[in-house]
Amino acid sequence: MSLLVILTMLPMLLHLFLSIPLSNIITLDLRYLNWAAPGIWATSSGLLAFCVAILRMKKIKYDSGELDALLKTPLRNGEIIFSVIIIGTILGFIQALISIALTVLLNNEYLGFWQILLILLQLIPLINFYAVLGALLGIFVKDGIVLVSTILLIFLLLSLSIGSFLPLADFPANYVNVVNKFPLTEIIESCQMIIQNGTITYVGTFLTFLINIFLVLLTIAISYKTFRK
Amino acid sequence: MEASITLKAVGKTFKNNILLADLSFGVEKGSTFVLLGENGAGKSVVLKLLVGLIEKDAGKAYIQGKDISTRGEEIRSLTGYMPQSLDLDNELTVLENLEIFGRLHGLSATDANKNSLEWAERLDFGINLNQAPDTLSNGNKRLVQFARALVHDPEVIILDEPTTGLDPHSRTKVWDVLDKLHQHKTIIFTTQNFAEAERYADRIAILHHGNIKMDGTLERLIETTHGLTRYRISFSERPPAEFMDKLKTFPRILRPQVKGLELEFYSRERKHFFKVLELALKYDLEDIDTSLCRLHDLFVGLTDGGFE
Repeated sequence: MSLLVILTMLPMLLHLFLSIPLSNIITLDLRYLNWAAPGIWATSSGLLAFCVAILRMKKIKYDSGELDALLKTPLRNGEIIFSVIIIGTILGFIQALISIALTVLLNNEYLGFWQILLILLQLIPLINFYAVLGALLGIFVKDGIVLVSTILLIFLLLSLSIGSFLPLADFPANYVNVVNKFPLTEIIESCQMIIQNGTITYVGTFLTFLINIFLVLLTIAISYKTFRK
Repeated sequence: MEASITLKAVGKTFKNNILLADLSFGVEKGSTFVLLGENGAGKSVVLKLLVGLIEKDAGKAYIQGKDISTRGEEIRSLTGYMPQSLDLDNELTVLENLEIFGRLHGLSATDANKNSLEWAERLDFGINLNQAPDTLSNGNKRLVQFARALVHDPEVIILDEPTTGLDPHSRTKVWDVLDKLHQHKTIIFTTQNFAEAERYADRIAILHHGNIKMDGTLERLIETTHGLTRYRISFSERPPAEFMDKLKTFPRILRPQVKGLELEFYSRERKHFFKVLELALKYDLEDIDTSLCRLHDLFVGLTDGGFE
């Protein structure tokens, strides 16, 4: 029940406290609230996937002694890590569905089945990226303050730095040149293009997918150094 | 007899501390082996190493002929391990904790459920099956951990101080179970309780500073003391320092020490005891007690500087 409240509240609060105030400041060709909807989807689903993964990994490794219990079963390190990533990704995916449904309702916009499917295709690697990142950082984050700071940092990066709520055109040119090369920026741009019926690319999706594979392998390699001492 | 567990020159260092130094021993199939040692001697390290919770730096270790470094998953499906610390998942019920372990060790859902219920009944915690572990007493948590180590019917049972924190009734239950299992399973356990080690282990190893000081059956270990006897003389008043000074000059009187009103020492020959007695009679002597060396005496002698 509490999870359902969070899944509903997160996109609604982003809409209320970021999209609505910014819609009075930022003027775009497209209605701002519609333009910022992909930001809500990406921020809420990415943040949730990250939080679930980092908290789960921290709990397993440091808080509950569960890791020792799991390590004496025939499970491989990779399977333990995958379980964390999968639960983060699934919950992030559910969050994305709820966020899409809520923004459609709040903005009175219409998204067809194919548009939603394309959006989800773009968002899944992003959600997975944050779940993998959460699992990786969860191996190292032992302290509560560091955990909160990390989540806050991820929230700021997700919401404000890659064109989710603030158009990149308003940032310095040098910064934009760099950020535009990030696959996650391309994913958000593609989502914004989907609702405008514009041209979309899958380069960001594909690159994020490759980065995810690399990060999973890195996490497994690190686990062999840190799980069994 | 076929070895179930074999360690060959195993070494482990952690943060510049030598935990295990060139450790070698073997445990025969179907036998019960106990590791005794002071706190920090490396007993838990050996067990954790066997189940793959920590990795060795040197040497070879095998369980049922399988190298623990290369066939860890197979070995963990053969072993049931009960750690010293409480590590039950408090987000699950007791039953779920047992079932999930059975499932992770390859049991079907039906078998995992059946075995979990059987163990709960056998160890008398059936009433707690639907509770979260953090609502149980520490003793009951230990019983659940014990059941969890056995739920998948492992070939090799590895128990780290299994009866610590248990009341006498629960201890009996645990040993009754192990007594029945020990005919066809290999059991290795650690304990601080010498009576348990003497009673239940086929072989005893005394670990000191990460290496085995002595290893064998109880009879064999006692034999090595060559008839060493412990003497206790009680006084009505603490014996004066001059008595102790004189005693130290006596040959073949080993480890003399005063504990309260009691003098304790070891000797191999009666005549040396009689000399001490002659001296003690000059003071206010109350009682005399003699006993042949047992495991506890041997352990103290070996780990605390020896008898000589």
